[in-house]
Amino acid sequence: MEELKRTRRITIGVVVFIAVVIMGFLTIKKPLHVYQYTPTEMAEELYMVYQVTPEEAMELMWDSTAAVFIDIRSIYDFEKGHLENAINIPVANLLDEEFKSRFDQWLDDSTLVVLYGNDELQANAPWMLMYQLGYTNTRTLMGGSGYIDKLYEDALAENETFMVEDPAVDFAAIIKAGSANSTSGAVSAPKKQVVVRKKKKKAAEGGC
Amino acid sequence: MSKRYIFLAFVLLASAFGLTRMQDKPDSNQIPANELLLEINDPAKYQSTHQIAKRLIERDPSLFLIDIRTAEQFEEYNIPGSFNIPLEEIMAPEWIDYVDQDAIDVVFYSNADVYADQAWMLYTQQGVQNLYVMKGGVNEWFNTIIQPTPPLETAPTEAFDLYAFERAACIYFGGASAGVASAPAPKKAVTVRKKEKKAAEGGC
Repeated sequence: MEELKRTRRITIGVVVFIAVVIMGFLTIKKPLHVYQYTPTEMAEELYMVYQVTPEEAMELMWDSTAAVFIDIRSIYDFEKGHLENAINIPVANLLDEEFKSRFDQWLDDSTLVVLYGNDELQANAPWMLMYQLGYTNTRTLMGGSGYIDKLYEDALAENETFMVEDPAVDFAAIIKAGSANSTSGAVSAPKKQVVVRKKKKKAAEGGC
Repeated sequence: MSKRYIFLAFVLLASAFGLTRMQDKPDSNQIPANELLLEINDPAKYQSTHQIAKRLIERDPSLFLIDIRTAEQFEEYNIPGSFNIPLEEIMAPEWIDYVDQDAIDVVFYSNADVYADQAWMLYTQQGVQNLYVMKGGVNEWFNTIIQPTPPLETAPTEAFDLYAFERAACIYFGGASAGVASAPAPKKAVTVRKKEKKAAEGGC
């Protein structure tokens, strides 16, 4: 009799354990967004052109089937003025569940999704994030809405360009001219010793 | 040993094995997307050219500038004291220790700020802390430090203080010192309004 009781308890214990494990498997929450590109892979992607020029944007703006413009600025900035037919999704809300289905839909339809801010910088990191999450149909707008606004208002400065990463002036020439004129000798900072501090890899600290 | 126990033991071992497999972390060390979004949205990731100039003049040891432009552009001109890692090579293992430094602020810069931001993004998503982007890049550096423009006469005094700093930094960093434009002495008409002493108004 004793023997039977013990074996039954073992059986119950094992069955309960297995049931718990199966329940655990079934109730796992899949993360909403999963990275499709590692940083190294993304670094490779950066060689390609994923930017839209203002000229291209101005044509795409009027055709809502060709492209969707997403204004990632705040609601206030959006209300002050935005590109034609643009949708406002402030940066902080980009990963919200309510927009995920739309992004998935745009990806399926291969619609071009152009993220834009006041300038190219604002949209750059959000774009990289969306791209790495698998939305390879996203782009950024060079010059942002700021450039296009100035274009409309005829307020572009003389040398203003949306290719911001080009040197604006001849750096070397100006410095040369400057050092020719200046009398002070303490001009260039001494060459810094590059000290690379190796991060100590901390061993896993166990509880005590 | 009855068949039942053998079977149960087998299922038990199988599920235990399955559990150990489940703990497999993905290869890459990317931080969750939500956390990354918070970092992206944080305006503290930017340093202005003025802040950088100030720290360089003070020889702040906790500042490390990384120029992510090409070697030719670095040769032509670079902000004094900066280190060159072209963006194409930024992910190479030899540079990781230059980017991932414990307590030191690593500031990326390029001609503007977009490419620097890309470098920032590539490493911040791996969990590296204390990374910054110099807003405006070298173009802005030249606009503000090397060739500062004097503020309009109607600008507030802070603008003139800033301009004084810019001119000092300009001399330090080797730009031509332009003509002096000091703040116009404000002619304040000091009106002293005498406060009329009101008689104590009693309640009514």
